[in-house]
Amino acid sequence: MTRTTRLLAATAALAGVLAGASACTTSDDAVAGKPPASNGGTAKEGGTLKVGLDRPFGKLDPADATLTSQPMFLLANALFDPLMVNDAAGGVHPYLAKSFTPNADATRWTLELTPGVTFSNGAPLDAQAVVAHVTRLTKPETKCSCIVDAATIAGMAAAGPTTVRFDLKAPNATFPNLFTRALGYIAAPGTSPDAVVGSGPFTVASSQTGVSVTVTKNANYWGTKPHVDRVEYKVLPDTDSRYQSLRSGDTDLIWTETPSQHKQAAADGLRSATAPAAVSVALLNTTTAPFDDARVRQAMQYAIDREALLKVVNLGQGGVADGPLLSTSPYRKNPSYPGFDPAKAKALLAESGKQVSFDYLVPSTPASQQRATVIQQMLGDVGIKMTVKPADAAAQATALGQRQFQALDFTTSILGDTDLGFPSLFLARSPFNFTGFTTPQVEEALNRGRAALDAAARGTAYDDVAKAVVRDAPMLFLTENRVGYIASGKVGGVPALDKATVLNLSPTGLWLT
Amino acid sequence: MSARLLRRASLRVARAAAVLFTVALGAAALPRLMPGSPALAALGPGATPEQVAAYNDRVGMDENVLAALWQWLTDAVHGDLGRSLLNDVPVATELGDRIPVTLELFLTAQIVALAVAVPVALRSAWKPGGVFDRVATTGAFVVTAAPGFVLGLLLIYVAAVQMRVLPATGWVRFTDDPVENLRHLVLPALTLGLTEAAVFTRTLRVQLMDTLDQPYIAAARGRGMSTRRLLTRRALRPSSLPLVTLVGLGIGTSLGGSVLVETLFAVPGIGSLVATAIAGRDFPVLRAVIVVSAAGVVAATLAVDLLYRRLDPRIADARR
Repeated sequence: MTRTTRLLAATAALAGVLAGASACTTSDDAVAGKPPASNGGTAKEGGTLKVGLDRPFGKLDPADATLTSQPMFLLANALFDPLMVNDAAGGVHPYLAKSFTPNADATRWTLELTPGVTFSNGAPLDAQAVVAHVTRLTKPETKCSCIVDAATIAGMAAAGPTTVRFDLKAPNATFPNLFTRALGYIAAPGTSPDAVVGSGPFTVASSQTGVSVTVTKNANYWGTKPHVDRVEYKVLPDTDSRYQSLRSGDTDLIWTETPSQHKQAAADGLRSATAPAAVSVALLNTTTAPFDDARVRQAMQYAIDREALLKVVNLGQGGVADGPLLSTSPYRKNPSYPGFDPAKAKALLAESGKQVSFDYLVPSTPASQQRATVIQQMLGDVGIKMTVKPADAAAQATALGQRQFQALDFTTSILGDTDLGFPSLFLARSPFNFTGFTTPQVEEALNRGRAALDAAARGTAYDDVAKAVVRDAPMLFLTENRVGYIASGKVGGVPALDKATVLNLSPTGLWLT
Repeated sequence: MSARLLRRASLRVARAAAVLFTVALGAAALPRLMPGSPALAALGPGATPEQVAAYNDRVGMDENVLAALWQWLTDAVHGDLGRSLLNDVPVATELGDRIPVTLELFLTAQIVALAVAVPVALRSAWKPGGVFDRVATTGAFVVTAAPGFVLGLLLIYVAAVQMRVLPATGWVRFTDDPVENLRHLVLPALTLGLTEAAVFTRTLRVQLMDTLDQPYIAAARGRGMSTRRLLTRRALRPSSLPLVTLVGLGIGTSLGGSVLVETLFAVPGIGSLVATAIAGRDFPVLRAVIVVSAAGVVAATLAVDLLYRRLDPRIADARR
């Protein structure tokens, strides 16, 4: 696919969103970021692409949340094909699906599959396979975080060889978005959980769980054939040595979220493909003191200088975050966020009559620790005492799940997809509503947005939610962080991703020069 | 074997068994001892009550600790150490894959450490305060003070990025490609080995200086014994007891060091397995690693005791 074609496809997708065309139909675009090359040149065939992953994988099963997390899409897309995919313009469009269309009130969705697709073991990827896949992921023993999404389905059935009908418990105009991750990466029914089979362009040649996996071309692949013969994925958990591996030529492509590396890449003869697809926020537990008082939360907004955070912690990479509608969101209108104003912060604190002190749970990453230190100083300047409490990922998950925290440093990509992120973070009944923030107005706006098949109406509803979230400050928006891939000069086909809301790259479009 | 020796050996075995049982008990209680909910830690904050219940059932959160330990020990005798909660792989398989990697790394690091520490300490102790001694002491101090990952990153930068003679990260099994295995071994082994060499050098140097002050050394010199022979035959052996202790204890402490080095160099050994298991609260893996490591420490301690007797027979007859 040429750059022009892709541009047209992206424009069409964006136009579709803006025009309210919620019914998704197929396009010839591929997984976001597949073709074309940003580095030019003609695609070459053959060779082994070496990829450095930033985290260990568990099972090569879509049910494992790690596999369908943003940094791991490059592996997931080798083995599986998603039904739906986030495009570079903030929309979602069919990939393995042919179309995904709603009824009038978005309570029934009909999925049409691309006919003739088979899994790598030769079994047909048909309606029965989709139903079996979704059913499997709804079982607690699969441990899929998608179980919450699947629970919105009242019933589903194969209505034909390539047609699946979903009946929902409540209207959901963006139901297809749920199929961009675990639910949409269809695995063959009846295969062992230890050797899950997909329909992707590659199949597993060898694997040591959590260490490395090598994939080779799927000879029976239904779609566009990949350029490289093999892809070797190595888990390189240390950020610095992962980057040095790229510089030394041990790997060809890595994922990184470290600002200094994105800044340094060009000087080292490497190329970055990034987007502000992760946002750093401070979650405030609104159900407990001192953040059960909106004035205290608002004082925190005024006390934090986001520009300084961007400069010091992110080295100027990315941008400041000014609300839950990120800069790449197609629903973004004219966000307004309280600026840095220590005097107003002090006034609000005085009005609250409280001597504010609290514990701030911080992940062990250098950026989070640095951010916490800077925020601690800023809050100290207005008379708020913040104690930094380091917490590993497991301790953080426990604190979030049990709502046992006062404030917590949180970096997430969930808001990259507004349609998924808003209900997850702000609906009262959502298990991901960590701040406990809810108002009747926000609840009404969220339900209104979810039910609106018209994208403009949905945008209006989301804007109402965003304004309420900024006004009541259950979370403090800090920075939009540049995350993504860095590639060596010999990798071709790495696309420009700077407008993408979700970085979803496939190895199919990459080649070695 | 005399009755006394048999009694002594039995006592040691009983002590070792008691230590291992205590460690295994602690490891079995781990899910209850760690703060927060192990289920939420492992499944993520959005886990449903059904998922949490399924997890707790699988981990045995509601079981009696002693009963759970007994069951685990019974299964372990039959080679079943449970299955990983993260990837469902049998823990015994994981350990079987990874222990040889960490052992290879550990043994090579010990060889590097001894190969550097012994000659440096001998020469330093022979002329304390000399130029060589001052340089060596300062060097050992710097390496000891610097965190291991700094040395590792420095080695990666020089050997992998600048010179491009060695791989920066990764691992190849010896059985797959011996040459590549050695190439991938060099940097992590140097990182671990040089850090330990610094400690070994400082310890051995002090001990050697004491030994070299002994009258029998002066007598040997008076008889015209060569410096090399004096140092290696007369001084090194009695001075090496603390070194043997350090190497023996190193088996236990090496797990801590290997977590860092294996993570930095992406070496698929026990250290990187532990790092992943802690992050994901993979209790079956943690329990097995803790017990196996404890068994290694106990075995090493016994071996050090035996070596002590060999190096200094007076220890064997201490009671007399």
